[in-house]
Amino acid sequence: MSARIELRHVSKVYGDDPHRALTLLAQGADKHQVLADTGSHVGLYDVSLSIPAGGIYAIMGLSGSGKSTLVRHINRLIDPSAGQVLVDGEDVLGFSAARLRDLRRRRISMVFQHFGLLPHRTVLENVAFGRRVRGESRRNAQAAAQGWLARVGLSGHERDYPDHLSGGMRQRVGLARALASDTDILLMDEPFSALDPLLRDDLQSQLLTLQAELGKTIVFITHDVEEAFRLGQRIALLRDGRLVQEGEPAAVRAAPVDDYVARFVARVSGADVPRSTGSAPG
Amino acid sequence: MQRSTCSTLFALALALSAGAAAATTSPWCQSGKPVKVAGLNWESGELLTELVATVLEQGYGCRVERVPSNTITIENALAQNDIQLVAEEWVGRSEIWNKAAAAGKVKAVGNVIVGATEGWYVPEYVVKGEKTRKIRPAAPQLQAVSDLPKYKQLFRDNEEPDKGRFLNCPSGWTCEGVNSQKLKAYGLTDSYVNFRPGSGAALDAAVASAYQRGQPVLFYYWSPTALMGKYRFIQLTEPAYNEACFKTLTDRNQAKPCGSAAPEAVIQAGVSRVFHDADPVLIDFLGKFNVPLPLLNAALAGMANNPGSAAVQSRRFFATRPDIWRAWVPDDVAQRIAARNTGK
Amino acid sequence: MDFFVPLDLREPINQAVDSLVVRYGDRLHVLNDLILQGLLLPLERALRGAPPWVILLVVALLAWRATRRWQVALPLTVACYLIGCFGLWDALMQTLALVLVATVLAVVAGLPLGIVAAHSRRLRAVVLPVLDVMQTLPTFVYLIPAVMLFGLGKVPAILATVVYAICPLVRLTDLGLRQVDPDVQEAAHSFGTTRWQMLLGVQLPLAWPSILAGVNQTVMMALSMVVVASMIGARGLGEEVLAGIQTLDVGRGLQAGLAIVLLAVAIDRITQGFGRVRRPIRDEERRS
Ligand SMILES: Nc1ncnc2c1ncn2[C@@H]1O[C@H](COP(=O)(O)OP(=O)(O)OP(=O)(O)O)[C@@H](O)[C@H]1O
Ligand SMILES: [Mg+2]
Repeated sequence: MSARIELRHVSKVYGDDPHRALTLLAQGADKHQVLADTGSHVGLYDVSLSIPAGGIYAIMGLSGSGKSTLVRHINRLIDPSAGQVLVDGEDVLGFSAARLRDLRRRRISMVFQHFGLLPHRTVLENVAFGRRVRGESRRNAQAAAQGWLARVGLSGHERDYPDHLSGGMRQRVGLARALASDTDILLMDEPFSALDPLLRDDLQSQLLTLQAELGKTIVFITHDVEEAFRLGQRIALLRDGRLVQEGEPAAVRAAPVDDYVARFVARVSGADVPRSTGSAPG
Repeated sequence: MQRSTCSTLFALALALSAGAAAATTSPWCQSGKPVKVAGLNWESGELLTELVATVLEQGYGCRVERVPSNTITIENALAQNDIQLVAEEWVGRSEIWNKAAAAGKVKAVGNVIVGATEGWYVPEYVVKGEKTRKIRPAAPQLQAVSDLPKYKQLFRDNEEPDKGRFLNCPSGWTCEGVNSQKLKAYGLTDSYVNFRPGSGAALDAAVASAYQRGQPVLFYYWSPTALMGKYRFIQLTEPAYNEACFKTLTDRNQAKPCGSAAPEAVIQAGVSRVFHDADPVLIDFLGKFNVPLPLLNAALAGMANNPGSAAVQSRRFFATRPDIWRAWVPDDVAQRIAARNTGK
Repeated sequence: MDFFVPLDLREPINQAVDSLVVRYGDRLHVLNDLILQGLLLPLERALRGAPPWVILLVVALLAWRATRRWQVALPLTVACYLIGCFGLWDALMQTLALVLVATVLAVVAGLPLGIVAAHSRRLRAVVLPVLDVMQTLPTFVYLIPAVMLFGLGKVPAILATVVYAICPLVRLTDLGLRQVDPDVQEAAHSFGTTRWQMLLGVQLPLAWPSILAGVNQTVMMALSMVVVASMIGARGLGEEVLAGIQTLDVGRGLQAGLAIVLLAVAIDRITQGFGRVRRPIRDEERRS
């Protein structure tokens, strides 16, 4: 399996003077010290990751550990303060504006925790959005959108507006919108966190099925360890902006590198959630 | 007891000393009432008001209140003695004044300005051209109001392009009604727009702007004014003054007025009847109050170059031209004014 | 020595205005003609030429489309009819044309300004204070120079109105754009939108209610300028009010004033109605 997405020593500091913060971090200061000394928030520090093609790569961590920051580097919604981001071997930081748009239009799409649906457009228009943006005719875009809506079980809601839908339905719209772009890479930032447990279970199954069928590379962010273990073929753990451990779920469970990971893992080891609730990945 | 005797004596002494100066004390002001003066808002009116107020305040120790408004309001207020004095009244030009005068509610006093003019004007270069700015005469034949229909394209109103534009007075000015009647009398209602500029400042601005750009403009104006001193205008001739015709011009409701130039302007001080009867001393002053036209024009030109300075011009006048203003008032009053206007 | 250092701006300003008049006056008068012949006069001719019942019908339909309630649309139409009963129909049409053209110009200039202000902090720091000055400067102060430059009549009145009335539109456009849900913008961004796609497809539609509130206020302020505009010879309802006041004809002034109020209410209800018909952003969308 080749690396589809690679992060090399990526750091992100929110603030006016990232270099000073980075120097402090290099000297061994942690996030809280940097905040106290410089007033800058550390989003990520020195994270290197390699995400293989195909399959679901789960990234987890507590709130504020840098998960959203990390995933937004992949489609450059966020630019790093230092480091490299490679997609299919190309450094996306070197991309021109036009190439970057192309990357977002054809190769990477994204699902958001708070859905990010356009409230002034119908469900169908929302799902067709990605294709319309890249210049497809309304007719083609909506025909494709129709198919994906059916695929996530929302046929009949085409003309509804997002705020007439329940949370679960909205996130299905969000998923359909991302899928409708036909991209190989799917970024999902805590897509199911805002949903109630039953719905979440349902959608997790649906995601596994879809992934098995489509073979996409999915980067899945979650703060829920059970979710991570259920979906992820590999798992990465973040803490205060640093990568703590990375590997296959079984390996992580067998050998947590520290207390932080151990405490996380303890929550699932007893229940031993089977990964095969949906159809297993092929 | 002791105390009150003392103060009674003091009051008596005061009364006696006041009595000694009785000849030149204004009864109205003595009684403590303020003299309400119309705050006229055109240049000459502003300056004349300032002069009168200065004499009243400094010479007679009056309390003067200036009440700004437009002519129609002022004339109504004067008739009701809500104000007492108008420094520049064009007598006989408005229905309101005429009625009030006929009813004996207002009086005109003195000859404030002699030789004032009014009428319809165009810039001189429209008829004669102007060498320095290389303006060709656009209407060398234009002389009289009766020529105007031929020139409606020259004075084109861009809001109604098939008519000319005549700049009337703003509504609320007496002249606005007269000019509207004149448009009818001269048969110009079909060829000219009766354009009311909304305010005196707008009228001045429009005329000045046209003049500076060398463009044709047709407007009503009068002298003494700063604009008249500053620019060269030509007055269009009108049918000679005819009393009966002019009556039809001052009455808005006359459907078929006949044309007439304005009568020679009689510009006097207007006072309310009550004030007139109560204060012969101040009426005596107003009877002598007159500013020679050249001096007035010069002062107005000075005001135009130094805006908002009627007060400045007034101070300069009292400091430099005692030869004129000393003739208006008795010696002791003149002394008091002089005392305030020498030195710095 | 005086405590106050003598400082006189009058002469330099006067000279500047004079030289502007001499140098650009003719060209600006041509601009005046352009706005007149190209925009105002055709509209005014159409409004004044149309049979009143057609206009009333249009008012009724607009009011109904905006509010969807006959209980609102009918009284508004009757109010306009009433103005006609006062004998002010022609003046009403002139005023309407004036206000409409002023509003259109204000939108044409104000919307881009608002967009620019929303997208650049630095430009906002320039634009908004300038607008504040424009709004607080006593109108007559720039009315008279406007007459010098553009001539007497409707065009300088319109331009002065635009200067005065553009402020709320720029502000509310700026505000509306900056209040667009960042989550939604980020999502749109992640699909590779260009700046234009973002602006036209996401930001402007979501800021629409705010922008329309701005348009509504702009129209109201334009209406409130009608009387002031008549002081430089703009005809219509404002002239009636002015003439009424200046000739002590209180009844005439009040009647025309009432007509302006009725017109204001009608325009207010209609523009507000259009602001509401659009889908509002629901708050649940942004819970976090
Ligand atoms: N725009 C920003 N400006 C300043 N600091 C930020 C910004 N975005 C994130 N941060 C900081 O960066 C750190 C990581 O934030 P991030 O949103 O990536 O965490 P997260 O793991 O996604 O948390 P959550 O589970 O709450 O979504 C936090 O300390 C946060 O305060
Ligand atoms: Mg997050």
